[in-house]
Amino acid sequence: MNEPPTMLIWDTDEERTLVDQAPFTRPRPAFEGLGQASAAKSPSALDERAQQQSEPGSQALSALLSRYKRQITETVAATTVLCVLGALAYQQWQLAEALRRTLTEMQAPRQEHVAERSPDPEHGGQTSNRRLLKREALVRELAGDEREELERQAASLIASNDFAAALSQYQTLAALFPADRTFRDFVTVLRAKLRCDRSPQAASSACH
Amino acid sequence: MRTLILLVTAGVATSCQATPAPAPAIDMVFAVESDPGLRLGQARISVDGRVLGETDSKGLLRTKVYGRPGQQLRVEHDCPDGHDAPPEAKLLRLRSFEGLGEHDLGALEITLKCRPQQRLAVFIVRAKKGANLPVLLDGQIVAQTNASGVAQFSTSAVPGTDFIVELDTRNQPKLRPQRPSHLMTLPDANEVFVVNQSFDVRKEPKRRGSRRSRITKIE
Repeated sequence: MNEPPTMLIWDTDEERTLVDQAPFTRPRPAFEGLGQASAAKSPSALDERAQQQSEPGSQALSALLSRYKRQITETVAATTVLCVLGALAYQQWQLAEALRRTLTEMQAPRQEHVAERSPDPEHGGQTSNRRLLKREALVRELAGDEREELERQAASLIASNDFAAALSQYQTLAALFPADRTFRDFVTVLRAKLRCDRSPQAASSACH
Repeated sequence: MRTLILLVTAGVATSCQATPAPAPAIDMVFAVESDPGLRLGQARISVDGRVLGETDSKGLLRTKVYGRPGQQLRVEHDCPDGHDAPPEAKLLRLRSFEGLGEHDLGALEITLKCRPQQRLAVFIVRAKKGANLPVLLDGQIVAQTNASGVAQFSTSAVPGTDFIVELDTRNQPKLRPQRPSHLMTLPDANEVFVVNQSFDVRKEPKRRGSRRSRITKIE
């Protein structure tokens, strides 16, 4: 009678139960104390425990070292993560600030730009232009992050029939993304809707 | 009704004279428009087969036309590329009447039309819960919604064209409705089309817990 006294009957589905046969074959440990089972102590285990008891100083030292090592590693990792996050946040803040400045300038009347450049056309104008071009290039490069939000705002303005505000928004988008023809088409259609290309009396104030 | 234009001419008593005087000159301004108020340059204008000139960048041509009272003039114009002139020529009949006061009536202005052959259509798609969906225009992918569910694109077509805008949800089978489409018709003007589409996300039906194996012990 080598067969175990238990028989498994599976359900019809495809599930399977793994049964470890080891506990059934392994001799049962003796009971100790309050009914808790404990494994029998082998002579080799006793020797090992004695050896361990004989070197408490070295064990404590190694434990201390490993704890310090772990703490140092954690501190370095946390500092690195914080530094990276800080740098990213600062960069994003800089980009947002530059974009905001440019948008403000682009939406301001053109006459102001002319007035700003006129006092010293030789040197001041060149410096101003260079600065403006540099900033615009920076913004154009980085405005991709803001593009989604700008597009969402522009779409909302059109959906709410605020064509005048939408025209301003699409002019900004067309300036930021000159390669995208869609924005220019939007500007064309909105200008037609606002009668911008007709007589000054008929044109909307948003055209200027 | 605009084909008959009233006109004041300077002299009408020349019929009694033995030798006919030359026809009086009438100052005229031709204005060519693509849409009401939108002037168009490079349109060639001719009267009774004689070319008078082309409109300038402001869409105007100032010229003189010679004619006698009662005479009918046939005004034709050729539109620049991308524009169509009306199929019928404009007829202008000269009539004389006497003014009461001494005042200058100025040049007579005649407006002519050049319809654009194609119109611009711009589309905005606003898909609620529809991020990153391809947008098809007449079966062709033209854009994709961004993370906010917004897509924008443009095209040009002949007035009266029907557009079918479709949101392709094949890659997101949980969205409902699947592959919604919208039909739009382009009028005889540049137009903005807004497509608003809301999606629901279908919830997965709850799965029944896996049945446990039943162990029967046979003593």
